[in-house]
Amino acid sequence: MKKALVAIAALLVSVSAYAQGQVNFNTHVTTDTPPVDARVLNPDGTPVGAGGLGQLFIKNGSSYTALVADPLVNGGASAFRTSAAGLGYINAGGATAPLPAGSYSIVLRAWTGASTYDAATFRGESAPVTVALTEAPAIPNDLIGLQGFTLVPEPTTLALGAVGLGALLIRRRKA
Amino acid sequence: MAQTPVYSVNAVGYVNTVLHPGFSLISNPLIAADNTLAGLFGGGKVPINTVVYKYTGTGFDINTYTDDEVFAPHPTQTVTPGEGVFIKIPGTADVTVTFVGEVPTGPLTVDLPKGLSIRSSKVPQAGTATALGLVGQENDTFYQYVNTGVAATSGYKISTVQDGEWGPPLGSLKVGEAFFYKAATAGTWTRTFNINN
Repeated sequence: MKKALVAIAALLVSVSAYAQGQVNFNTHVTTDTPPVDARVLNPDGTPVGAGGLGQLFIKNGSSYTALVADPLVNGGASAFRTSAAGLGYINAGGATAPLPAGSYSIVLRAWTGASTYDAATFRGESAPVTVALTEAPAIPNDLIGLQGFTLVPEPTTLALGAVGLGALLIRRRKA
Repeated sequence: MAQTPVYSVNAVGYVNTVLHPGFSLISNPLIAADNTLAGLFGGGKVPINTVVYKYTGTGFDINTYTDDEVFAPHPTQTVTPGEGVFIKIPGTADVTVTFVGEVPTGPLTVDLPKGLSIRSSKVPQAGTATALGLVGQENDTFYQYVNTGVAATSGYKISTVQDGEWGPPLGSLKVGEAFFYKAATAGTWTRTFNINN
C-alpha cells in the first residue's frame, strides 16, 4: 500500500513538472466562427456585472478540476466585465489547467454573493463543451461552443425564502 | 544656394537574450550582417537539438540544430526585426544568445496581417506593446508567452481589445521578445525612431 502511495505521489510530482494546458478564457469573441457568446444572466434577466465571478472547470462526472486565470486574483476566479457592452461576459486572458494539453470537457461556473461557488447565494453552470487545451508552441484555443446560462438561487437560499414566507402566512392567520 | 549637409548616424549595438530551457518567443532585435538561423544562432551559440519554429500563417516551419552544427532543413531561413520565432532550448541550463547589429531607425513599419502572426518591436526597447507604439484594434488579441524557467508556471498571457482597451492589461515585453498577434482586420504598426529619442 505504501509503495502504491509513493508511486502515485511521484506521478503527481512528475505531471506537475511539465507544461500545463491552457485556454483563452474570454466568453465573448465575436471574430470566431462560430462566435463565442456565453452571456450569463442574473435570475431577473439582467446580465451579470460587478460582483459576479466565474471560473472554468474540467468536468469529469461529478468531479471538477479548476482552471486558474491570469492574473491570479479572487482565488483563481475571474470578475465579470462591467462596461455596458461587456456585461454578462468574462475576459480573463489565459486560463491554465493542472493537466497537460488535450481535449477536455469544460464548464463555466458563475456566481454572485460570495467568493466561492459553493458559498454563493446565486450560481449556475454552463452545459459542458469539449475544448482542446494547448501548450506551447500552440496558442490557447477559444471557448468555441460555450453557451450562456442564467443564475439560479442556491437551494439553501430557496429554502430560507420558503421558511420566511411560511412564517409570514402563519402570522397573518393569527392576526 | 548652399545647403546644410545632413548626416545619418547608424548605431550598432548588441543585445543579450537569456533563454530558459523549453520554449521562448523571441525576435532578432537588430539588423545583423547575417539574419539567417545560421548567422544568428549557429556556430555553437545554442545547444545541439535546439529547435526554431517560424510561423508561416498556417503552421510552423521547423528547423533543428543538428549534431552537424547546422540548422536543418532550412539553414538560410531568416529572422528580421519585426518578426519572431519560437525557440526550444533542450536540457536544463539557461543559454544566452548575443545579437549584434545595427539599430533600426527612421520610419519603421510592421505589418499585422488579418489572423495570426508572430511579431516584435523593430525598436530594441522594453515596454508594453502600447508604449512601443502598437495600437490595437477592437477584437485584436495579444499572446505573450512567458517562460519562467519552470515548466509548471510557464504559459501564455492573453489580452484582447474590447470596449476600446486591452483586457487584461498588457504585460511588459523585454528587448528581443516577440509575441503572437491575432488581428481582427489587417493593419500596420508604425513608429518613427531616431537614436536621440
